[in-house]
Amino acid sequence: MRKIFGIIFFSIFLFLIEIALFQIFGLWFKPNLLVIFIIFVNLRFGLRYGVFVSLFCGILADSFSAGIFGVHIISFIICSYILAIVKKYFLQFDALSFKLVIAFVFSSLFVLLMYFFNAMFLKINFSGVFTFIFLPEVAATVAVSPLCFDWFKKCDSKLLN
Amino acid sequence: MFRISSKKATYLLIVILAFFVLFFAQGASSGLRMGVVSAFSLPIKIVTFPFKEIKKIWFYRKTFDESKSLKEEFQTLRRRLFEQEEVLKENSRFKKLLDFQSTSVFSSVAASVVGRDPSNWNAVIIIDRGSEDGLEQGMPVISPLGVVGRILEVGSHISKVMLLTDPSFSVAAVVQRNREQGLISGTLQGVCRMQYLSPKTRFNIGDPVITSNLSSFFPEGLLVGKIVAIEDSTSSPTIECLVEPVVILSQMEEVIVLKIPQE
Repeated sequence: MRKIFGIIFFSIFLFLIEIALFQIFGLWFKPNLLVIFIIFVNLRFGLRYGVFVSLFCGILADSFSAGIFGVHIISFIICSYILAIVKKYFLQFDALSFKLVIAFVFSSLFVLLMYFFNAMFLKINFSGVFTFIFLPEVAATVAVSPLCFDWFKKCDSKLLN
Repeated sequence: MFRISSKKATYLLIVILAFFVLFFAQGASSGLRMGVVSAFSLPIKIVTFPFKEIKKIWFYRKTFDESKSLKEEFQTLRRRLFEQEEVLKENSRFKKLLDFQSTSVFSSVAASVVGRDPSNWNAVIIIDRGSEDGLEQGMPVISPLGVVGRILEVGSHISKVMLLTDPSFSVAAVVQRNREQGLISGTLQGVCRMQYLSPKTRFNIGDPVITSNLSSFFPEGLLVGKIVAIEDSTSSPTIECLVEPVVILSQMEEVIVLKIPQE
């Protein structure tokens, strides 16, 4: 139960940080902290908690969005399932290169899934998505991912367990 | 035979449920959405407050210079306003003479911006007024400079506003100089696109764009923005213009909601 509350608290806190960062930097520095947290929870606690955090973060993100409800939820959940498969093939979770690669792969995958599901309902220009969403979001997410993973690990040993 | 464990069945059920919500239960999610947004309005205010204040200090010099130039502009505008008032008085005299019906003036509500959607996919702000203040879905949201957006969802004390740069936003507009009609819609890059313009008409960079009388949500004549680029494609029978909103949407702290009854 403590773990569940810890995960809820962190998800809310990271979402508020995202809003605050967006307030200052706009779209040019908007790391997807929720994706990093979902990766961390999946690798650390497994798929059960991964799906739970994906669902919770998805509801948060979709509630504030003007788009189709459920797009964030489904994209986060798919990322979680793929992470569960990826997890079987990796052992070195603490290596810097691993953190950078996994942040790059899953933040990219998340944007592509968002594009795919949004494109089902809306007319969206892919070049616009690539220039104004994919590049800034993935670059910022990869840049902050090592720091975030280390911070989550520290918090995990103190708070979640 | 094919068997599935209860754990796997739960995971499968979650995915099916998520897809069901995505494709079939959009209307049902409205209450949940506004509930979550209402619950988070106070924490967002608390968290974003220091960041807003830091930003103000950070841009102190810029704000100071702006204030100086605005004071000068204010003097000029005050003089012009005096002249305009004279014209208005004259206009009302003529209207009386011609027995024109007086146009109704909409009542409005001022609201503060509480938060924003941090996603790059949409342009949404949260304001601290809701149905208790008489707001309804679709009502136009403006600032003293021009169009901001329109009300997307309404809670009791909080509302979601879709900004004019959101890809789902659209409004009928007209280029003020040549009265050419078009449709303004949002893009992902923070500017608007004005579509369906006639290639026979000449457009200039900097031409002001205002709301048209064809708009179902907005009153006629509100300033939307200025043309910043003209895209003339040989493959398309119409031309498109990029319009930069006159309101700096990222720095907005207060807005005005026009209480125009929605159908």
